[in-house]
Amino acid sequence: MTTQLKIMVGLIFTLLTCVPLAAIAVNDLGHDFGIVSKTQRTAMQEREAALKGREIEAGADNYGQYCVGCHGKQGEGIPSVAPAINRRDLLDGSYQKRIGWAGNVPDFLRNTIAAGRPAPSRPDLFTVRMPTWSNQYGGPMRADQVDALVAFLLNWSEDAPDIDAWPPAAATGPRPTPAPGAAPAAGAATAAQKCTAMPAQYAGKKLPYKSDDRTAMAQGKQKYDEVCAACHGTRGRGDGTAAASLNPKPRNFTDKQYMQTLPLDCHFWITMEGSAGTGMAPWKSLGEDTLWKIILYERSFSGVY
Amino acid sequence: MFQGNGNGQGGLFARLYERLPVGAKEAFRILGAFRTREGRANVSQELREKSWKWADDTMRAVSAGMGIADVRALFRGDPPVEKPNPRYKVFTNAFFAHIRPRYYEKSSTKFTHTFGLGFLSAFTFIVESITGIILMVFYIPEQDQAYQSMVKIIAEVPFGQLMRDIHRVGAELMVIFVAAHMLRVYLTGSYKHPRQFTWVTGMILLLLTLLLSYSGYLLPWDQLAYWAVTIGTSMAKSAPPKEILGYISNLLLRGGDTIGQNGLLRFYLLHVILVPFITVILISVHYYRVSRLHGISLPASEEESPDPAVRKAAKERLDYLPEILTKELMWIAIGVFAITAFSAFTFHAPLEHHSDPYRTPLHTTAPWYFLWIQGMLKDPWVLPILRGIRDFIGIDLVQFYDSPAVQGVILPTVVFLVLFAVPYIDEWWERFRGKTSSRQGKNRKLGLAMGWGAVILAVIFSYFGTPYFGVSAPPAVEIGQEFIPEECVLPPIPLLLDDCGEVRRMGFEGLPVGTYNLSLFGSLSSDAEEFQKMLGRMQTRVAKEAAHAKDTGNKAGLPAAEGFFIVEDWQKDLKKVTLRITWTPKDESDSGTYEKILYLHKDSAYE
Repeated sequence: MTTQLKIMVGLIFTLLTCVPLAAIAVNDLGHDFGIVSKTQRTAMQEREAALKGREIEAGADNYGQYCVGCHGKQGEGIPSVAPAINRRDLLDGSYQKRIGWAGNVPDFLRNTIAAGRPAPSRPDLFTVRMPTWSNQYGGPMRADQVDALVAFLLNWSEDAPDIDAWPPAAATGPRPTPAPGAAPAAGAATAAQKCTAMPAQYAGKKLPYKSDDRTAMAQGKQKYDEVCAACHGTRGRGDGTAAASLNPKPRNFTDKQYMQTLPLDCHFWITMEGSAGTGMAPWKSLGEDTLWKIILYERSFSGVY
Repeated sequence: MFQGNGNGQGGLFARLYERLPVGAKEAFRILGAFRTREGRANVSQELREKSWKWADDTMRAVSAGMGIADVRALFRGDPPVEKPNPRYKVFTNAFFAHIRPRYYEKSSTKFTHTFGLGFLSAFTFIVESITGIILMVFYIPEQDQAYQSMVKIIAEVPFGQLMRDIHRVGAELMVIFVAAHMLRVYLTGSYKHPRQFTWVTGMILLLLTLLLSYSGYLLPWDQLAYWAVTIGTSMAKSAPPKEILGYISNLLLRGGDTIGQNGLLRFYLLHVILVPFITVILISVHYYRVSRLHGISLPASEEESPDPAVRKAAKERLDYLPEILTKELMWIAIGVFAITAFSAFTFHAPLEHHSDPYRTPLHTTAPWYFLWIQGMLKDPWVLPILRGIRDFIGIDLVQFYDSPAVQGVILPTVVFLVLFAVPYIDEWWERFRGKTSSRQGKNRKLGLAMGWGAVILAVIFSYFGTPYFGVSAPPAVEIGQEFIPEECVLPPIPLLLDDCGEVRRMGFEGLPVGTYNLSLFGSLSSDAEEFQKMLGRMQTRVAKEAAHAKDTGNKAGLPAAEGFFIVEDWQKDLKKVTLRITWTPKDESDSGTYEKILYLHKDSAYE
């Protein structure tokens, strides 16, 4: 190759290098140069959206792992456990305005998730305290996970329903403390004492399902995972995510000894009416049939029917 | 204009004029000359000569000895215009030319002899340095911000993704070029006397290249980074004696028990300061030996030719200026174009999920160039052979060999030590055989066979190191991983794109909401939609496991396995995808069900 030919080839390739560079310039700076119309996304904005999308995916994953138990599958909340968080006022900033939060919505969510609440905000409505989630405060989540979770929550913004999750506090004030003597000692070895208070209409109630009815069991499991697992744990050990902030602790359904002292009618009564002096809420609203299915499932942890 | 005036009252002007500085006198002289046409022509001529001299001097200063005319002749490919040849002066005067040779021996520049691999290695190193410095502007070596800064580089910095892609492509190419360079030097016998120590410096550079690439692996702080480096440092942890050397090297590298902020900062500093610094020094030593001390080796057949004419022709001089210089500039232009175009249009460096110490990816692998080490940890040959030796001869090496310290640290170290010693082993072997040293292939058949054998072994062991060989998670998990991998999976061959699994490739729009019983998609007509075909492939895998269970009497596989594929609308532009496989539990510990959940956002654009 002659010298001049080499220089020519070199120059041609130097000029050719401008082609990919120009392509990238259009991709990255199309709006600044006015080459790409403002209504169109540049490739860089598409990359930004893709990374945002992946962050939302990661947030959904974290939500499924940590939050579903108390706030429900779609953030609709679980009565007596935790409020709805897919509601409009929380995500559009009006709630923050009402309580006098000067910062922006993402920061409010981030801080609430990271640091939790020192005590239940509305003990009359929800028994569970929001725990601390960031590992900065001893929780299980890293900073990026909290951020991803915030991105996931904010993705509800556009179609969040208008729910009033915070009706004014009831005139009766905080949850009445039970009369002394009526409250069972935490972790009592037997349920006999508690069951003495059972109203007559519950006495003698029996499981309407056989203990090997797999369909009923599966339906019971589904509902249990949705509403009970937050406190009682997915495996019935009383170690759900919300359990940490409860005292007395949620019942451990795998405790065979205890379950033998808890007759089915008493179990049904407690599930229907709740248990005074504990975080256990009344669940009548779910309907008797559903509750029996749940009880069927709960009993399967210990195998005592 | 004042000289002409007489002595009378002009005497005052004359005295004043005498007192003027030289420059002012000169200005008056030029102004005076403008009065006539001839004078103007003279001034212009004078000006031209002066500027030319100034420009020529500047060029001589910049080019360290060559005037404008000579530079022009140089780049036109003409012979030098001045005598003595000013082009050689450059090599004594200029720093950058000083480290290059005045001429190359003609045959040593044959492309098929060197393939330009040393040049390409240096080229990629410079590409890495430039793009690396640009990336350093935006990268924050802090464990809560590192990943975020990668996101920023990709999504917010103009040309940021390009820089990152080029940096990644260059890194892979550098490892490839350096390794190929070593292989070339081995095959052409160029490591032999007198270039033995040059080989040793080259081996150090190979190690430094691997270290550069590997230390950069951790910096994005994604799952790929975190686990690849965790594997590597845990090998260092088993270096014997484990309680002392292993403990200390682990502590030094990770800066703690596991990789955290300390480890990240250490790898960052290794990557951007320490290793590049040592590499620059070693490149200088290596290059000095190549260019100044021994020159590039000639093709063996010509160097050792019995025909003196051939030997003489091979050594014919090819001047660096302009032959080699223009050639190098041309290849730099081509190289820059190739690497830029490839990064802009084809290859994008992967970024997996944020690193998570509590979530080990299913099939973690080392980077491709360390796969052979991982392969040694699970190769199917050595242990059976050693067991055979134990059983028939009675020498028990099984216990010794069967430890990560031996397979992961001692053996690779031995491999590298042998590579370091290649020229000296070779010399010793020639003396032992009583042969005269020869670089020609026909005289070193054993050496060539061993070289190619080592390459083949490296490829085979690398294959053993991949997840395709000898690793099996429970069958349901493998099905989940095949269709919905946790991360987009990097192929073990460098510079190919990662694969995000069929479900992600189907995309947000391609996954209609519904619950699908896979058994209904077992046999499809050929005009079925792409989505249905995917369900069909899932069913094939599930049915295969069910059949496998039947064949083995429920010992392996998934007895009576059934699959369900569920797509739900989860949020705005977000779908939840569940692959559920249920089977008859084989024993008490078997749950009989497996679920793989994927959230897929409309924008997330996995390709």
